[in-house]
Amino acid sequence: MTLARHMRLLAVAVDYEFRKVAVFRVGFLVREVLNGVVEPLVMIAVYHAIYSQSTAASLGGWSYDEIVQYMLVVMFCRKVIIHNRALDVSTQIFEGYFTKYLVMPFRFTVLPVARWVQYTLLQLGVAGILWTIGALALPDVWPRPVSGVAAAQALTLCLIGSFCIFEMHLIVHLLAFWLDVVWSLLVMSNFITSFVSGAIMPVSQMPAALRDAFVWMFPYWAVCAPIEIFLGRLGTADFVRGLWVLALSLFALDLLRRFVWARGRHRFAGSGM
Amino acid sequence: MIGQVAKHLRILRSFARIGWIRKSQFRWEFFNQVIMDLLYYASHIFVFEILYAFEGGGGLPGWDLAAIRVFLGLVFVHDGFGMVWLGQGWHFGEDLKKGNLDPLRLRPAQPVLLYFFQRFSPEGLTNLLLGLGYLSWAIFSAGIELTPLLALLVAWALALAFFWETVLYVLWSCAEFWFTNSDLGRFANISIGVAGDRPVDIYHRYVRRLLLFVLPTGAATWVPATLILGRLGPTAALGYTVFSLAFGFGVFRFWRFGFRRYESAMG
Repeated sequence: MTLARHMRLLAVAVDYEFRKVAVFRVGFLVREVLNGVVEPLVMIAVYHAIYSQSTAASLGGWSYDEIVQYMLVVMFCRKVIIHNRALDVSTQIFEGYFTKYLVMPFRFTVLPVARWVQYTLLQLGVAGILWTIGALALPDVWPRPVSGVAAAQALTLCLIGSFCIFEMHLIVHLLAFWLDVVWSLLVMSNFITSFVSGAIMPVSQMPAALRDAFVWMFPYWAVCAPIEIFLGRLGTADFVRGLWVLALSLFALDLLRRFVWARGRHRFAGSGM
Repeated sequence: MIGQVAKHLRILRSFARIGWIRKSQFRWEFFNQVIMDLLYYASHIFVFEILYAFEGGGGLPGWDLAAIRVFLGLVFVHDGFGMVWLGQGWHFGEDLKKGNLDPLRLRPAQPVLLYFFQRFSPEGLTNLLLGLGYLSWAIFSAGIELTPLLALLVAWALALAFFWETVLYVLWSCAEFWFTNSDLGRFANISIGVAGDRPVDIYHRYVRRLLLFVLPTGAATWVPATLILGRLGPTAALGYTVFSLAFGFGVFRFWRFGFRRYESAMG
């Protein structure tokens, strides 16, 4: 009964989130369509220059064609994974209008989750359109999944990884119950996540010590590993391992978020800090 | 003219004083922002150190590891300047939407300076000093001879980097006058800025010209770095400086045109 009520609320909140992002047309183009596109293209230019200078056929285990395909798929992972500016929970806490949610008969978390659902659905749609355009315009270089199963496995890891990152962002926002500013923590988490996930360069090109550490962290299984599964460099056994790492991370993040939420609500006095 | 310059310098001094007072209340945030920027610098350094460590790889054409470190030093220093003085630029779209620019019309000083330089950041200054330290180390380890001419070139390069950082913040914000709440300024600052965080000679020649003369993010990093490395001759350096001044003051005038056209919140 309660679950059904929350699901109905989620559907209504997702609908409102969609309406909100569609209001400003140029803003929609910039925020929703171009988001995450430029950085991988710049890295392709960097790699192009490096490979043109190189005497070896592959660098760090990646040929030029493979690294271009990797960076093209990174572009789509960056789009689908929720970014650090998508939530505004900390602003609601700082400015005090968060109070009204605490007296309403539903779980507040449904609202940020609705934003994650809206963001993911929209970005999947945009990514699908851009993917089709890219595949039609550049059929020779455009990456193709090694199999349908690999594509499904990659998408599954990417989406669960995105939800882990969403939980991490939500926890940072909830720190507004104690801190006066949280944006620097969000940006910091973004830098670390980008590097650890392989959104800047493949983790398998990094030194062994970093590689061995990063495979135990959820960002790696949100970007780098799904792409390697998509391209056929990793297999089903890696997918299962990734599911375990993500499931355990999600469990730990959810526990932490509930703890921070409970302590924060106890401390909250009408406005943040 | 001298009186106007002196007045604006006094305003900057007041902004710096207010920035110190404001930040003394947020000590935790001070450390967060310093660490945040150090992570940004570290990710750049890691990426290039890894790319240059590949067996059989030669790095970027025309840029050995010593030269790329000088380039990275310039990336950090120009970013540090933006963090020290231009932090308010990140809020431009929101301020425009809320009508927060209205009081600037009543102040008897340049609105570009009053708006963009109003938020002095001591933590940004810490990072700027760290960036300068990295740049000095990079110049020293590149084996460049330390002469009075080098000191002059470094001063010239830093002046260009700081001037262009200001011009770019103002340039990106101009779009918001016409497309309110579009996030175009922030998008350009981050996305086009990323292109300038890499040496522009890695791009196709059309993109290179675009990044040096139309959306000149390369002007704040690549040009000063090549100046220090002695790759830009005196004529080219002087020519580009004249272009920089003309482009920069053109951008400031264009911003003021947009500001006059803008009527108020959602105007």
